[in-house]
Amino acid sequence: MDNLLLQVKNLQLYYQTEQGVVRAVDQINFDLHSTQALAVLGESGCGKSSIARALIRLIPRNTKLYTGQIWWRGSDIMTYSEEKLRREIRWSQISIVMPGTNSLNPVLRVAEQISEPLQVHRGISGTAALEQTAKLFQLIGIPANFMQRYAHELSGGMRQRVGLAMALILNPPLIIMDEPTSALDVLTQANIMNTLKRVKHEQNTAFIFITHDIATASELADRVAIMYAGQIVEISNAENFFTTPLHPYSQALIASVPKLRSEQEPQGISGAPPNLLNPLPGCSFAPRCNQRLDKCNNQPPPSFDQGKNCQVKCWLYQ
Amino acid sequence: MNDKNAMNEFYISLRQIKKSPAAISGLMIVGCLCTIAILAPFSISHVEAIRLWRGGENVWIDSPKNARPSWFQYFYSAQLPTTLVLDTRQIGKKITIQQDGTRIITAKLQFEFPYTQTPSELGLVILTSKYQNKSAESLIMLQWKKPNGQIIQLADRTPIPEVPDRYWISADEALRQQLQVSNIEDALFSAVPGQGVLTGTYELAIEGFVFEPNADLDAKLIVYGKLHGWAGTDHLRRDLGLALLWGTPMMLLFGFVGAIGTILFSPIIAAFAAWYGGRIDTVIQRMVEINAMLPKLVLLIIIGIFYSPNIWIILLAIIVLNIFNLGIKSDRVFFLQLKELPYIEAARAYGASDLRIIFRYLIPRLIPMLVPRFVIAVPSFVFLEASLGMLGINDPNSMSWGSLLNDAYEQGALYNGQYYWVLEPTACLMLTGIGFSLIGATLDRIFNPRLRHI
Repeated sequence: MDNLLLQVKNLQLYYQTEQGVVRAVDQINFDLHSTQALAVLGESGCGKSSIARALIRLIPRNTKLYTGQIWWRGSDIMTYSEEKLRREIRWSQISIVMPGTNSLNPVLRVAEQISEPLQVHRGISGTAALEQTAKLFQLIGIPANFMQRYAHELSGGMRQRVGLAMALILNPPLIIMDEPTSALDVLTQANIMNTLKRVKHEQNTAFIFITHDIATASELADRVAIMYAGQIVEISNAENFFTTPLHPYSQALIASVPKLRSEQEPQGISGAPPNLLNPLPGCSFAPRCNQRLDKCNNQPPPSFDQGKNCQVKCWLYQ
Repeated sequence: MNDKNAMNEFYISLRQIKKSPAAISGLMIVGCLCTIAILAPFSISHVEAIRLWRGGENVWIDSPKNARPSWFQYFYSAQLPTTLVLDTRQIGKKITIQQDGTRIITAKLQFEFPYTQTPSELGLVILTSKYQNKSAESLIMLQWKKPNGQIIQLADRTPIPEVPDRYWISADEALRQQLQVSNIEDALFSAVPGQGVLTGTYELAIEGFVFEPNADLDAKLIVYGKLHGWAGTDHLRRDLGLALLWGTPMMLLFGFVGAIGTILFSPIIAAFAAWYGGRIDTVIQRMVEINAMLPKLVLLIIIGIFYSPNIWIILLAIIVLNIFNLGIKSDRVFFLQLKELPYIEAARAYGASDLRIIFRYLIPRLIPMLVPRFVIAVPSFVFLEASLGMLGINDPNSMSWGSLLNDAYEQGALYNGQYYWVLEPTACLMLTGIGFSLIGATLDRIFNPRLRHI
């Protein structure tokens, strides 16, 4: 792991709602090296997507608190002005593949849509842009004659791939993918995952891969971060994580994955995810944890280093 | 490549228009109006049309006053008289020179009169009468000969040199008293006044005495009919057809420019209000509300009366008054929904600027709705112009259907039975309105799916 690409320190993103303050991203720390793929795993509503938004400052209007440091190649982009961020970071450095399949402009042809970032950032348009777009179409595996279609004339998988092509067009060092395969069938998922792998090898791109699907995450990830209640409870290398998950939540998560040709039944986690409005005084997983200690109920666990680039927020590993 | 595919929706819309008889008739009406508007400048230039329209009697001397349009003939069994013009320059004259140097110029203006109604007027214009010496005035004696041989002596004229001398035979008070009739045409065109019109050959014998060697005389007799052109004439003998014809391009241009001006701004302003929100939104909202309270027609009348009745200045005022129109409210609501969609967020993510998002992502979504709105807005501006014209805000340098209505109103057209004068511009306005509304309603149904089954 040579050069550090992204370093996130104490990132916080709270939303103001009518019921109170939602702690969507709460004191997040992680590092990302170039060409690394980080999978962010977690249940629905644990703040995964909020991380993606917080990283490129696409924060909603009801943001209550947005603090922390995001070091991008040695400079803190949290201090950038909106305009500077837009010009220097968004898409040219960090691009994002939006969740769902309706993140394309319905009145632009697919080729125009993909070349939009080229126009915005490089001022390239016309045939030059079209040429680059055609190359990308080859890379992501969509026939070139689809370039002149509109978004609604494509299938969900194709739209997702168009979104990916858009993310790739400026050749950014980091691509954030927010649930890129969540709404797709298994075959399309497999196709997209293969495309991603190819991109990773050919373009040397780093990925942050946000998903709830452990199986797809295991395909691509070098590092895995487990999110629970707005916090990263465990972050470690993929090969270690999938064999020996440390945090009780990680263990439960792995156990919940159905396995082919195995008598072992997938295990759910009892209880419901915590309410992000009223954080518990201790570990937020404590009420559902089957290895709970006494102090779990009233002392929040700090991050414990377990070696091999592995950190766990759990009193078991003190 | 796949352009066909992409164009599909457009063709489907077109096909839907084809299926709708309302839209087809609307298109035909608007097509006719546009064709007329395009052809009008080719048939008669604008400068020429203005010259004619403002020319008064010098230009329109050959056409009758308040004449019905020629299609009125279909409502009458008897043939209605049309205008006859007899000119000595075409018919020819005889010159005899006396021994004392006096020259006698004689001309016989003969014409067939087959009609059972008297003409509306009789006029004689002594066109040219050349002489230098004031004491050697020309003298013209006129004799009216009916088909039954009766002869009536008309007034003698001594024309002023170089200026055409108009002799309104119909308005000759002395002649009326001499003949003891209320209506001179009656006396001239019947054996006994009030007992039917004599048909046959009439003759006006002109005998002019000139006293200089190179003096000359020419005259023109106009027997005014009761029908003229396809549109009739007004109190100033002007052909209404001219104003109806040239009114078409003026009205359409006014309607199109007004509609474009209004419809162009409201989505842009609404998009800014919705996208930036906050204080910009509040200011725009209040502007719209204040603007909605303004009495616009009154303001336009004030501008027309006190500042300038120029049609383009009024149009500019209309556009300015319509910038913050109420349409902004509904557009803003549409944009507020739109700006929360994922594709807008995606655009922000790839660094699209605010302006780019507004002009490339928000406003294009509204364009389908702008098309029917534009089509429906055109006649409303045509009507507005007509209303202003009707209320007397007339640009003297343009001909509009509204100013025809104003003239008709001022001249008491309906009271005098000249309903064609009111009907013609009204029909034009109604056709315009109906044509655009038929298209607009169909387009609205195509582009606005919520209305589809209503």
